[in-house]
Formats: sequence, structure tokens, C-alpha cells
Amino acid sequence: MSQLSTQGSLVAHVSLVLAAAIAPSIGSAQGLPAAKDLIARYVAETGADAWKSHKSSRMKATMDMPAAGMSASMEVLHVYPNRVFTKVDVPGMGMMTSGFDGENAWSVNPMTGPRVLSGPELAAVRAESDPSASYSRQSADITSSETVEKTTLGGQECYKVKHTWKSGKITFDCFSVTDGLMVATQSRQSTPMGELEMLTTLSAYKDFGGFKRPTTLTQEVMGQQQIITISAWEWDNVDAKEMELPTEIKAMLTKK
Amino acid sequence: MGLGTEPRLRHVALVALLLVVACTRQVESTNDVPPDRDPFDSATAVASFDTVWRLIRDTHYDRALKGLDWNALGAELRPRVVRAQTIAQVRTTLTELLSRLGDSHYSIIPREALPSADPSGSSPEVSYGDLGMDLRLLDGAITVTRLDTGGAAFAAGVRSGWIVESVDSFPVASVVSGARKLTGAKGRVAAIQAALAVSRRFGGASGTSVRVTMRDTADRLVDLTVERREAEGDVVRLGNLPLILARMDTARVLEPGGCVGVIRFTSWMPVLANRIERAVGAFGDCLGMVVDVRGNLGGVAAMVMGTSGWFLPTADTLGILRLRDAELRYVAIPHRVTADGRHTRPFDGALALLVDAHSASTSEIFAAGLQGTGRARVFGDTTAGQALPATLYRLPNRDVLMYAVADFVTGRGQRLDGRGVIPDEVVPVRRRDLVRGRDVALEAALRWMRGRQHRASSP
Repeated sequence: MSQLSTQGSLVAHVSLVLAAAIAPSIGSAQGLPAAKDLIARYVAETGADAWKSHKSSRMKATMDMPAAGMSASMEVLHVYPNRVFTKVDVPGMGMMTSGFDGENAWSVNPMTGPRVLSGPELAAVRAESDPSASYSRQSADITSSETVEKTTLGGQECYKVKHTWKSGKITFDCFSVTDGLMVATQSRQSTPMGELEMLTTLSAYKDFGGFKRPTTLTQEVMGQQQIITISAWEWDNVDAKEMELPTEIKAMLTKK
Repeated sequence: MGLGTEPRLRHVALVALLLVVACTRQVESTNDVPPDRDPFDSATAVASFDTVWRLIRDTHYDRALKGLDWNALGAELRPRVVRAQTIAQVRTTLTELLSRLGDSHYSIIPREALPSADPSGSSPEVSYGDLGMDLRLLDGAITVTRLDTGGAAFAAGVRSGWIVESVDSFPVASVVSGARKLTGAKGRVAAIQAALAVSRRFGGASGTSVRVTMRDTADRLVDLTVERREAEGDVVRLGNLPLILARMDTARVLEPGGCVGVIRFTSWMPVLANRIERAVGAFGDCLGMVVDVRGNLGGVAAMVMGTSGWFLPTADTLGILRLRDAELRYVAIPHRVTADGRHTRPFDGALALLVDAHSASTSEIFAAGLQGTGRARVFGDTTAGQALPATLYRLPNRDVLMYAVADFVTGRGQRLDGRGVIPDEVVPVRRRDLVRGRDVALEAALRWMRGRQHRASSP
């Protein structure tokens, strides 16, 4: 296994987390818990910062669209803080890969060919790749968080928190009234074809070495339910070679 | 910023979009499909009706459901399903419900026509045989319009322009008569269905035989027994879709000013993406290319983005998907590198597209997109007018609903469904040309390229 996380980037990341901790958490609607308290509870309940004691992770999952008869295998490699490589193998469609190397976001699939992402897609991948944002909502990119209502999502009562990002985008999370876990998240997903509003419900939290993650993520897109089922979360077994950019992307990033 | 609690949720949205199909049913052979022997279950039949009714109510691109009183329609048709005694009656009622929408891509795919439940992508283990010929309904007759020279029909002496009269005692006239009475968009769809209904009877396990009565070029009746040969190409499983044949052929035509590359493919299946890339690369030195999507009934719609990117240098809009709550675009994604990492650029020579009445769905999105940007000149017959992006839903009774997820308009805002792509140069398919071995659409495209070349080289 290779050493894949640099001390320098970790220090930089901790600085960002500290910066996020003092980012404003707007006063919540009357009678609702403050967003910062909901987030802090969630982080404590899930051990969301556990990733900081690891160099890398490997998430294995299946992505099912039962009504369409599709089932794909999926693997997400994450070298902390923010290098990501994703593989999704869809029978009949082929292997779709994508990633972020800390600077460049890219994707390769048989439908579109290789792409180096820019604009909103790059911004989305950059944010997704930051564990302080995706695991714990403690990123400096979140400029404010505000509890907006108590509602029911995914069959659970939850407090809905609105996040405003530096880019101006708005996303929502809903934290369970009962146990503080995130039960749903709502955002606009950037794709090569434009943006789609997505509501994802989260359930079946499991502990992966002190890191509690939802293992069932369900979305509905165009009438189709799509379910990601996480089967494994492994720490510190990502090899440097696995993170190498695909040949096409290397070429695209090289000036002719 | 598309952020989820896990770093890759964006993929779920992306896969869903990429999975959108725009295709008409293709290669499944009803001959080889075992008849449905499941006992009829009224409860699952009603549940299936309710699922279809609800899914369309909740997802149709037009929130107003095209002005239909959907509740009243449900109330009218549901009792028929409650009373139904057979699966055929249920399907008839569901088809009526769907037909009221007046759009393409709403259909019920019978469970018997589906591949077995082991989805594994490209399926070399599947034995799919055919006679290696394309059929069209021309002047009221199912006519052979193209033959594989390595196919069983060609080997048996069948030639372009022959007419199919019967297949295994099945009288072709029975499927043709209805189509002959219809005109316009409905007539085009009926003609496709008639030709496909006959084509499917030629499909089956390779090595099995089919008896066919045909009329040759001199209108003499000819009786043949032909053994099916393994179809060339890959038979692809894609979720709940019936099996789809993915095949690509290329040819280099030598013209006075240089070569013209001809690329023909039978469906928009990702397994062909690399082959299309290689073909475009191989013809990169030619003065022009012809992309032949005649008979191509569609497939994975997102493939138009990558495929167009071999011919367009900028991210031009090819078409717009109008969902109920969003608008998405198919855009060309120009290729700058090859799969093996060499720098390249989209082909900038002359580009002609060949289409016909059996160019449907994704093929229409592709043709309209490149025609609309001015990048390609389109030759042939008006296309099918079946151009809605769709997806599939397995119903409680295990039939599959295909339903549109969006309306589709061209980059210029023109709707294709029911209209089709009108070629820049309309070149109808005629039996007398087929009999003479002529491909008049290809000839027209080559003639245009020669003229273009001549003008470019004239002082």
C-alpha cells in the first residue's frame, strides 16, 4: 500500500474544518433546535470525523433500479482528504468511471466518452470529494446552516436544515428527531445534461470501525426508485495505482 | 452543488439519465418465446393497472396529462381489468389506457418477450439466429430492402426487392392489411410494426429452420426452407428491455476526390461506442463520412452525445428533454482524445446521414441534432416520429411498462414525436431500385459529396 495522504494537506484540511466551526449558524425558526447543534449531534453519533485517522477508504456497493431490471456494482475509493475514484459497472452499458484528483474532475463512460469537468459539475465534484462536507457538513464551503422546519421524510420525523454554500447553492438535510441521524438529503445534482432536484432517503446505519454510515440510500428519479446498498467500507487499503487517471484523461490534461 | 451524504450520489442521477432509452422493440423473437403458462391472477392484473395509471399520473411530462381526465379514464378502464379473465384482456386494456396519451414510447412489453432474469449485459451465450435481411412495408408489401451477403437468406438465393408472402404458414397479409389503411404518422408507425412483426418471425435459435414463401423480382412465387444462422453482432441485455442486436458495419467507398467512409449500426448500444470511435478514426483521412441509421430503432439515448462529439467541435445542443419539473439537454461532447490516449479532433469533412422510416427514437434525436446544427445533410425517408426518451418499469404481473420520461424537442424547439425527421433530400425506397441492386439514398449522399468536393476544388 502506498502512502497517499500528505501531512500538509491534512493540516490544511484541519484549518478548513476549524474555519467551518466558526461559520455562522443562523438562528433557527422558533422552537427548533439550532442547526449547529443538530450537525454536532450527527457528527458525534456517527463518528463523522473518524476518517481523519485514516489515509483512505474503499466503499463497495450495489446500485439497483429494480423496476428497470438494472443492477450495477459500484466502488468508491477515497484517498483523504479529497482524491476520489469511482467505478460503476452497469451490465449492458459498461464501466463508468469518474474521479477527482484534488484539482481536476473527470468522467469516462461509453455514452459520452471521456470528459474533464468544469463549471457547476466541477464545483459539485470538488464539494463531494471533501469529507468535511460530505461526511459531516463542517466545510468552509458552507457559509450558513439554518433549521427551517420539523417534518417527516423517509417515514421519520426530522429537523430540516438548510445549507447555503459559498457558490450560492442551497441544499437541505433532515436530522432524525429521535436519534439525530441524517434521514434525508435534498439537493440539485449536476449532470452533463443539466441539473435535477434529488431527494435521497438514508437508512440502515451501520458501524464501520467507529464510522457510522447509512447503508441504504434511496432516490426516486423519473418514477424509478434507485437504491444504493453499501456492503463494505474498508479503511487504508487503496493502492496508488488504483487512483491513476485513465489514459484518456491523462491525455486530455496534457497540452497537445 | 450536487452534494449528498455520500460522495457519489451524483452518480445515481447520472446513471438514471444515461439509462434513459429511446428505442422501439427490436430483436426478440416471439417464435422462440414459450407461451405464457402462468395461471391468470386477477389481483396482480389489477395491481398492474393501478401501477401504470399512477406512474403516468405522477411522472408524465405534461402535468395536465394532455387535457385528459385521468381519474375518469381510470374509472372507465379499471373495471375491465377487474373483470378480465386472461392476460391478453389486461394488456388490451392497458394498451388502450396508454394510447389515449397519443404519444410514442408508451407500451406494454409482455413478460414472455423478455430475456431470462439473469441480467449480464452483452450476452454471447444467447443464441439468436436470423436470416440476415431487412424488411420494410413498401406499397403494401413486406419487401426485402437489404441482405447480409453472409446471411442465410442471401445464401438461399433471396435478393433485394423480393416480397414476403408467408412465414411458416403465417400469412403476411394479415399484418399488412391494417397498416395499409392508415396514413400519416399512424400509417408510418403501423408500417414499422407490420415489418417488425414479420421480421420477428424470421428470428429464432440459430440452426432452426423457417419456411417462407416469397415473390421474386419477376413476381414468381418461391418456396424456401431456410436455416437460421447466428446473427452477426452482439445480442445485448439491458435491464428489462427485450434483447437487442448491436451490430456495426463499415465500408470505404472510393470517389474521385478521395474516400468516403460509411458507418452503419443497428442500435444505440454502448457496446458499439468503441467501434464507432475506431471507424471514425479509420476514415479520418476521407473527404466525407456517411452514417447510416436506416433500420436503427434506437437504444441508449445518451449515446448521441458522445457519438455526435466525433463530428462536432463544440458542445452544441442536440435536443432538449422537457421533464415535468426540469429541462435537460443532450449536447455534443467533442472528442479530443482517443480511448488509447492519442490527441485527436472531431472529423470536419462532409457528413451525410442516411435515415428511413425505421430510423426511430435515438436515431431521430441524433439525426435531428446534427441536421439542426447544420453539421450534417440528411438523406432518405422521413423517420418514424417515435422520439420520446423513455424508461422501463416492471409491473406486478411481470410485464414491463415502457413510458416516456420527458417530451423531446430539437434545439430549435421542434417536436419530433409523430412528425419525424424530414431529410434534406428525400429519397424514397422503391422496389424497382432495390431490384436493380441500387441503394439510392447512399447514391444521393455520395453525389452530394462529389458536388461539394467539386465546388471546393473549383477555382
